[in-house]
Amino acid sequence: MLRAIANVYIESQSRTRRDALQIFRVCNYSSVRGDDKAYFYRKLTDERQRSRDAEPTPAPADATDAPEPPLPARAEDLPPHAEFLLVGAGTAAFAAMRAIRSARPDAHVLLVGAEPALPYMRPPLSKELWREPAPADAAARPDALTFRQWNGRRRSLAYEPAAFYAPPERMRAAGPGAALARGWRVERLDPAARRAVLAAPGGLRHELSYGAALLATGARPRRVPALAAAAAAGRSLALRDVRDARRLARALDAPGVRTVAVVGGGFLATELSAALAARLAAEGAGRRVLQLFREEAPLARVLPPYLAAEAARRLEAEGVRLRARAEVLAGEVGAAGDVVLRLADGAEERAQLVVECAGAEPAAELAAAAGLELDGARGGVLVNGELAARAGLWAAGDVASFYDEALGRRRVEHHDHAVVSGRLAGENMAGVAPPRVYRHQSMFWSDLGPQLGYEAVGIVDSRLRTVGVFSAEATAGEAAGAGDAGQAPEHAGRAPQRYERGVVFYLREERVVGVLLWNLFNRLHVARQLLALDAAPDLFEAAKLFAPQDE
Amino acid sequence: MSVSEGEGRAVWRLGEQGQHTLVVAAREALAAPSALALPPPEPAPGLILPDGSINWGCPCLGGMATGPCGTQFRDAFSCFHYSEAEPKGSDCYDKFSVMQECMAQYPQLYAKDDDDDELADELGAALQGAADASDAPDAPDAPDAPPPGR
Repeated sequence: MLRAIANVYIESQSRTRRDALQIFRVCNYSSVRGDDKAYFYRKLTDERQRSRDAEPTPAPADATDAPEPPLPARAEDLPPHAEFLLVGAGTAAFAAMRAIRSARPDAHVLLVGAEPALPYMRPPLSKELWREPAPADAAARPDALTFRQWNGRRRSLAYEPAAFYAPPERMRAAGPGAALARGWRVERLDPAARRAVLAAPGGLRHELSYGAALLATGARPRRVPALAAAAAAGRSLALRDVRDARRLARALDAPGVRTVAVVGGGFLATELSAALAARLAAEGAGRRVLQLFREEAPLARVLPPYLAAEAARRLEAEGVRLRARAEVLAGEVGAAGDVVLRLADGAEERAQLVVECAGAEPAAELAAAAGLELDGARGGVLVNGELAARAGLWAAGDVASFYDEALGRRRVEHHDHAVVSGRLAGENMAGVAPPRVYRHQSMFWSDLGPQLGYEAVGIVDSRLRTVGVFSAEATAGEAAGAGDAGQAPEHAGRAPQRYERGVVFYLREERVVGVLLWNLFNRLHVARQLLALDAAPDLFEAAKLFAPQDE
Repeated sequence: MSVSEGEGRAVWRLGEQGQHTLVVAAREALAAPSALALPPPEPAPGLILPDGSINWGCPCLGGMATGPCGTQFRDAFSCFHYSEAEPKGSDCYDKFSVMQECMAQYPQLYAKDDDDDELADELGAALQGAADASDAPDAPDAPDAPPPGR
């Protein structure tokens, strides 16, 4: 990694640096490497990966939900004061820690997270994890979990290994560095006095003062009330954290599961359906995924109807059975492990395992109890454009309803937003420079099977007006007759039925507020520039900038 | 209307309220130069900022500047960056030693590279390429050269 730094350094200078190589050879160590794209990641050497693969990792014999002791295990090991207190240990908190410690190397940062795992990235839990040979075993040891990316390289799920954080027995000293309290929650926060109370199972309690704090408590999955009985019987699961992923993987491994029902039509439901279907298809045992959703097509609330229909086609091609216009009224757990889903139209579907992907609710209880203002419309803690709620108190990630100068007040539940907002909040908390406003638009991405990926920035909501631009070569269907695949039809007969790649603009009040790139990559920077314009330009001319006719 | 009409384009208005405009155009129409000119995007800050200082928050550094050996790393790398000795950084060996000692205590974080020689060769080749292409050999550190966009 030092070589990588040397490389980057050398590239940015204009003179030969053969001598630099010598210096870095002297200390031939490398380290974790960051990435400015969607993930922070850690490169593993092949040797370490081989040793990981060689170790069998049997799942612990205990039940999945056996609670692990908090770390530190004693309240006395926690510091009396935290210069920077980060409530939460997820992506936004981690990004904030990075930003604070980059700006202030002397800073003491305390992350407090309820999960036993080291801070980790969530996207692989509905994507790459399901391509691993033994997801249940992998998810049982999240701190060691690695996954294979599209380019074949492996990454750790955890952002940093345990060695990165201050050892629990030295946390009390509160020296410079990042300290991590796992299995602890902030139970109470007093923004005026800048004091917080931490609690852990077993009656552990600790009070501390803080200099500045960040609320990054995230969101929790919304459960489907009609499936409460099935959930109690362990047959209907949610997917949010790595423990959920383990539970799901174990349930999937259970004998007798022939059909997995995914309830929901949004990003997570659709992505998970595709990922699970690919896994089940690879097994070759005839197990199927059934996706049920209220709308006409998956992602109908996000995509214009012609693309939602395309998404449906792709999912079906992956082996997912789609059940549109389905509202689940009840889930009856029968004998032999079946869950009978009774739908509003009177029909029934049968599965042995159900996954609820019905959205998430921001975890804002601590903020409410602390007297902070919440956003009634969007949920979450109200913060300004600089992500500040009160003096000394910021919020970032899923829980923050923040003011976006370009797009208005928003609350965004995507990974990259957690990174971008966490970083911004951290920089503003560190106070080395005047606070900055949220300006860099975060992105999100997903894959639907091996042939289709989409990326987007801004507000992508099908209730808005949209303009989609596609190359005739990249569409197919009845409008292009036999032999006409390369020509745009002169008469607008029926719209094409297939969409391989293109760009969709989302408009609000004559302004581009969102851009969706359908199988077009490395073009988000252009999309961001369009979002920054005060008024929508001629969108056909704008579309040309994305070269939708090329891959 | 936010989409100009033109040759080689078919336009549909879809959706219940017709609010979804779909344009399918011939390849030639899309490949033609755009009438819209956007300013060049601001390059994301790299490892070295325009004022010549080190960007400790550069994602390329990962956890190097923020981890347990962060201070030692910063000392060593700053020394190297501002060094005017020949060869550059040769007055920084002590600091690199201290950094190395620190990193040795955290093998989990700072592992030895196995592919030392391979990377050294690659870097050497990159340096040679840079030397061949460079206009200004041995110019003093150029604070005005913007880092490459990442």
